[in-house]
Amino acid sequence: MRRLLRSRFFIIALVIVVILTLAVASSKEGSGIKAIGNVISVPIAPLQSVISFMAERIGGVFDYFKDVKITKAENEELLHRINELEKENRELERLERENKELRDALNFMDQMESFEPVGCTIIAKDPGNWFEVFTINRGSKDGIEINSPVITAYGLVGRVSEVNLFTSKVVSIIDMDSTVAARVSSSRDVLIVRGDASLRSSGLCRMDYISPDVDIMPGDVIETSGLGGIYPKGIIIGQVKDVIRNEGQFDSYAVISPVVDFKRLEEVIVLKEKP
Amino acid sequence: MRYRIVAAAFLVLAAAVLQSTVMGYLEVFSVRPNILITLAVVIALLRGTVESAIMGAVLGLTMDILMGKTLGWYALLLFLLSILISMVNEKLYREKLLVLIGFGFLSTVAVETLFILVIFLFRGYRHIPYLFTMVVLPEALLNSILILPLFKPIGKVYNILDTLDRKRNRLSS
Repeated sequence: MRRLLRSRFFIIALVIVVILTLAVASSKEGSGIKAIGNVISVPIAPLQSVISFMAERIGGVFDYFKDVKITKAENEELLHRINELEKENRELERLERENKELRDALNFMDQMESFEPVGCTIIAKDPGNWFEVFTINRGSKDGIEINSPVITAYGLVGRVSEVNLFTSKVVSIIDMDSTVAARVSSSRDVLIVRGDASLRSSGLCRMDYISPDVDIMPGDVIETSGLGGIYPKGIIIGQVKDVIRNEGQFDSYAVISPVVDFKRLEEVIVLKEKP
Repeated sequence: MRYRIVAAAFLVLAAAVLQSTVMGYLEVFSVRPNILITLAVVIALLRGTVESAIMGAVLGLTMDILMGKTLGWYALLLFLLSILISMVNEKLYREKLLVLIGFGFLSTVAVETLFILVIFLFRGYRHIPYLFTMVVLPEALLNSILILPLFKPIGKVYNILDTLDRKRNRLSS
């Protein structure tokens, strides 16, 4: 036995078995074993806050000089667009009235009353190149729970996927592990919006399984349907950017441009369910 | 030994903080370098099998924790990679620029390719070649550049730790 314990191959095999067991045990979302993440997340959370804050400020200085150059060119373009926008504005005012009526009809406000908004700051972005997960500065001590919806003033961001003591992880809607029950605002067709690994880097996601009878076109607004039990009904997800129609019955899909700019996201609101 | 553990813990925490904050600003075409993989490669090039394997596993586990998904895949991959590199490191001219760049590049390609195979293939994802060319190769390129400024300072830290250990051993004997 002692000889076996001294064997290098036995030790390596043992470590591999332990790691694989850990991988299997932690593969389920909300698994208790992920609490070992506190060993890293608790000590680095304050450092992440400070460095994120400093990096944003330093980035802001560089952005200022870049912006002056860009502003000049933009100014000319914007003058041309003012006329266009005034026309659009009148159209938007009409849509706003219509939107308000629809929201009232959907009883959106009543639903939101069952949630308590918790303002959070993003302290760390996803460390790798595969997922779209970020860390916020609120955790279980602030009453954050797994699957709480996360939004901004513009629309849906994602949901809480992991809660540590002082921090939480949020899976955004453009992450490949994210699926949102959604619907087309105009036609009320219910579909699924999910993240896609190849669209993630462009800040886009996709809407799958579009049958030929679904009435959808570029520019349509997509919102949560309320089905699935995680997201409340009526939160804006984004706009249809492109519809790709294929021959198969459920092969068609749409590329969705979320209303939230995930590259520049700094503050979010977690919707905590009221007791 | 105590200094060694403190230094290792500091290295891991510093890498974790940098990876989750500053590295986001070094993105090129939406791909960021990975300091945790690079650090594991540097340590494996400098140290023995046991130390490299432990550091590889810890750095990998840190990456898993930061990602907030399944724990263990990066830990396993960096653990095995560190063992392999540390077994051959003495036979290499490891201070040569091309050796460093080569190891930074190939290690990233190996780790990230196996990672996407594990994570994406099980989910029936069809665009693996796209991810390989658009994410794995650019990241490998960035890591092979990042390894250059990291190698000498980390080497110096370990030299200081070795000197401290030798002094302590001399005093105790």
